Amino acid sequence: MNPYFLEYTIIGIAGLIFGAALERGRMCFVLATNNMFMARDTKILEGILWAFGISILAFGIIESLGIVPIQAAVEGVFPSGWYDLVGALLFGFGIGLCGACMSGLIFRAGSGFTQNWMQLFGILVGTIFFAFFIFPLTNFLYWILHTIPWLTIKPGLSDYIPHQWFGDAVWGPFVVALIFGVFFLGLGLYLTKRRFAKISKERGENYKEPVITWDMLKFKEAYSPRLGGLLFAVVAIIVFLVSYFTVHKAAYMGVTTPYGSFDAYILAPFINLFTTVGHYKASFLPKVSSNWFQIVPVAIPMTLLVITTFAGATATAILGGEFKWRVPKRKIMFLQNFIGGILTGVGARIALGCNIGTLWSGFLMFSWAGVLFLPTLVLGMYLALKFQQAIW
Amino acid sequence: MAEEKNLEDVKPDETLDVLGETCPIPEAMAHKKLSKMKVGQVLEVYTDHAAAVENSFPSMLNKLNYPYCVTKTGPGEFTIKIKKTS
Amino acid sequence: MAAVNMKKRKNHNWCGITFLACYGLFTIYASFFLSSLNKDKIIGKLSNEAIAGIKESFILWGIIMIIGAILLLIREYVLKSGQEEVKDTERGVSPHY
Repeated sequence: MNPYFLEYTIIGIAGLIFGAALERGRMCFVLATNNMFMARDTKILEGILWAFGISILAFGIIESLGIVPIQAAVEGVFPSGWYDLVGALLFGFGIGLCGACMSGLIFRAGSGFTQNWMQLFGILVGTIFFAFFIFPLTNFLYWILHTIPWLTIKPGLSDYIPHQWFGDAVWGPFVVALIFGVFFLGLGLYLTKRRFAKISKERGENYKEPVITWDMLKFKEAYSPRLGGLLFAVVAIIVFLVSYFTVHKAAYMGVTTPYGSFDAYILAPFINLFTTVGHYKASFLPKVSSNWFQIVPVAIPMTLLVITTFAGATATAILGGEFKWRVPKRKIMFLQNFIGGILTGVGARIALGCNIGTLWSGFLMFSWAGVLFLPTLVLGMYLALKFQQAIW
Repeated sequence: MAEEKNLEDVKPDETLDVLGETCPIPEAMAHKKLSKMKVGQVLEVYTDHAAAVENSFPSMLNKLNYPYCVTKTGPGEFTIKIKKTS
Repeated sequence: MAAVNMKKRKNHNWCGITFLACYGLFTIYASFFLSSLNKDKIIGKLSNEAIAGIKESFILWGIIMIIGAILLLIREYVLKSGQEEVKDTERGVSPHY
């Protein structure tokens, strides 16, 4: 059987699970940070920390046991550097304006929020804007590959933390996973415990939340974010293992690059973004890289994953009786979401990925991308929250 | 808790319609509106952002210590009545 | 007050089902352009085997999504379970927190 057919088909199933986890678990980074800043509520954040912790530990074990050899795992590792900081700030402000991160957008749009469809449109426009103006005119690829040495870590092995710390030792990934994974998982468990203690004190009874109940499986009830986090980790592991065992190329989760493919598919009858346009004289790089679309493949497994994630989110919203065509009363929200979407798209492209592709997968790749992405992402979201509190 | 039950039939003094809007907006606008209202008045919020009803509103209102009452009015659609007490 | 809200309530599930069918149609639509977009690519070109496999998978998933939409339509209008759910309103819901 064609290995590519197998890879895409199984990853499609992973997308359905991802969509269900997003929609039912309300897994959205903006929601998590806003709740934390505004109400000191950590429920959603706990889910995200679980997702990070469990998946990082699992990836460390997989790589250390050699189920996926380190050499194969390293092939998909992104470079990291200054662009993570810059991109994450723009991206964070954009998603803060829209009220939905790159993954939250999928379940919001999937369950009928029209303003998030507007954000999606903004992302598509922003990606084209980046691809044809920012990328060639600023000579973006050059600055990624040759820039201030201490900020840009070269692609490949040298940006792989286990290699930097422990050389070629097989147990390297496991030790690094232990450090990051235990930190995230421990923080998640601590926050859960603290929240339960707080509610117990308010209600005067011993409060506990089940991770999984029968009603959740029947879509009657929203998932506990911790179940959502667990499913997130399962999805990342499925994607990683399936892509390695079918086409021998380890793939990490990512949802930003597919939006570029969607641009190309939507515009395909009119214009071929992958080849014909965007050769600017301003670029002093070889002609081949003068527009961003020319350096990405036509399809990556994540393209299908994003579509099936939309399908999974919509299907669970309908099954849970929550689907609704939601139009905001204030039409200005469409404008805000369009602008936010453009910032989201451009920021994600500058950082080479979004909160999934660079932040989460950055940790899964054991590269510095995740660590660099996080602080300015939170800063951007905080600024967007303050901005919105001031104007509305 | 008794006060929360009574809220169901109270006529609201102010209403806030944030149907179709996500994340910080329902909470931020409700918070702003509440801070401008007089003590003892009731605010009614219409929202269809389920996550706001499940997490952010309860934790925000518990922190402020305002009694509130949530009514489910349709698929993913809720009405929240909040009484400003201080 | 509750009576007013009752009037506002609507069933939008048909809209979600249309969405699901549209995702399926989009996937099938996208599959037609894979080979033509790949043909003139300079960097990141996929092999012919890859394009064939991806195309088949896209079409398969497109069909699965459309079948899913049809199943949901049956659930909605033949079994009527979706409509029951929408009608169910609760008063004084205590949200889990």
